Amino acid sequence: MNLLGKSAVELIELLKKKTLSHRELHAYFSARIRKYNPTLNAYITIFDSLSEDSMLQKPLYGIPLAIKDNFCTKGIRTTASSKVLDGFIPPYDATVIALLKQAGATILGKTNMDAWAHGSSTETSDYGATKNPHDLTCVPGGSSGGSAASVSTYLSPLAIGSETAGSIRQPAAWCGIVGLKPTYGRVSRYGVIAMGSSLDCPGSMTLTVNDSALILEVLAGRDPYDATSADNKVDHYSLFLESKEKYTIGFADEYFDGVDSEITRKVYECIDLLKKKGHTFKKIKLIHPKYSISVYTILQRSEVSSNLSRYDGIRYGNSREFFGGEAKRRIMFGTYTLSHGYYEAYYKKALIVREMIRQDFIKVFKEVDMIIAPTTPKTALKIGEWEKYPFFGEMMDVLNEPAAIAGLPAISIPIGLDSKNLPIGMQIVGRHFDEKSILNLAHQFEKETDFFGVIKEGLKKYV
Amino acid sequence: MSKKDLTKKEVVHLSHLAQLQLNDEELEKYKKQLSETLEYVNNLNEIVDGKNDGHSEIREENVFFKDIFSDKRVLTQDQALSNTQNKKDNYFLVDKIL
Repeated sequence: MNLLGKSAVELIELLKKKTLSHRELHAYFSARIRKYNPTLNAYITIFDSLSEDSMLQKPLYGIPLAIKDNFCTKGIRTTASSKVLDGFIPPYDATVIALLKQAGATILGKTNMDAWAHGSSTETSDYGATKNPHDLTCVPGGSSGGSAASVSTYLSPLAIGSETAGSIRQPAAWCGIVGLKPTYGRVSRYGVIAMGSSLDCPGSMTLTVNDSALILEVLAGRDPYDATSADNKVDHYSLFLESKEKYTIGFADEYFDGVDSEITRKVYECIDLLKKKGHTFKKIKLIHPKYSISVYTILQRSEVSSNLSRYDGIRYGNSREFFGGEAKRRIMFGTYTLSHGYYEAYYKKALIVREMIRQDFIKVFKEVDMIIAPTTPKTALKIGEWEKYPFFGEMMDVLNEPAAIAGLPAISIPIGLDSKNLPIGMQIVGRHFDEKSILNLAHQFEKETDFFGVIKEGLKKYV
Repeated sequence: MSKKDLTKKEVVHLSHLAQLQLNDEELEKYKKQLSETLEYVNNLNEIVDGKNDGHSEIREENVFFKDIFSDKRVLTQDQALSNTQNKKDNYFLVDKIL
């Protein structure tokens, strides 16, 4: 049976009908990882375990998946791609991992990322860069670059990523897959190696919108171990996918400023297509994303300096001498913005503008149900280009930062290839806790277009 | 937030606060890069309106954990010590402070 490109939902059906066995499925992905990982470097730890039979009756039916290496996995090395944590074996599972296991998922391995999730290309990993599957001379984006590369080459049917501002959506766009960043607080952060605690958000990277809905159903909900997790009702996302809703959708010029013309053109084509399907579009005005770069740079680095202060090499891990350049730069900047005399001028001011941005979105969401924009200003860049920018990550994630700062849910979907044959992503941003609507619209779009064949194109070289 | 170039002395001070040992080359590099970044984030002055104090109204109640003993998240001594490189008689070994 040719399994290539089958979604998790399809694989679960095959497992249920017993036309596919667990052992076959696991062997299939293990063989693919062995074959392609040496080229791609998507995984930094490969874990060959077979699911137990008791998992068969659970919602995920033993589906194997890939986990970004900043989620603590009991008994499996977890490094956040930093040599500081080179030999760290967590004695407990992150809530996300515990929920996935409870739902019957099995872990194939831990995926590469920018060290501590600091970056947008996976090049700051202490374990070497991951390659973009569409063009091996390009980066996959980041920080969840290993997860994105794993899914787009079908080394796993889906993967778990995390986003602080762009780390799911941007690599999903650059690798041509679906990336969902839920509302801040929708999914527990407990056991995720912290970067910016007021922003961090676990999410999924998948080949279909249906798979994203399925995973969110497993992960969403209040966790007593994360005080910032929300107890808002969890919707039945998968069921709502087939609902034929018509939406009022906003788009803003500010989110096309500085965006490559090919990407702009493609996004407008999609807007036209959605109009034809009966959705209403409305021009809106939003605070320019360039201010989000500043807010994000200050808040994230401040939180980084605090979060990374715990790594002293006493209870676990290596000493602080093992930090790479990017982590050191961020710790230094955050130490400055939090220090006496500068707190008001930087950290406090960033908080004020963050609230302005949040209120700006809330106001706009009285007129529209969701917002559509390009995911990234450019398609995947060449390996090594990041060093030309003092804050490369923030620049590449400029269109992702506003929603992250405001804590809004957003999904990036593939909408075509540019003239260099690199994937283009479009994002749909929704109201707080309204994942069901953005998933619904993304699903409608997928059914209409099949993402213009981007996912199949990505798989071609990895048969 | 006027234009601000960090001095080398300030960068050295920051590295002490952050407990990072940096060599001269790194100090020079970060001095330049941090100054550039500070200059960029100055654009916040263009839009900050002072109408809010930076507090968000997302949730206004405190979240408490029940003050009871639960063994669900307890690590055994062996587990707690399993990742350290320096231990002695089942304790973490640290540098002398005094």
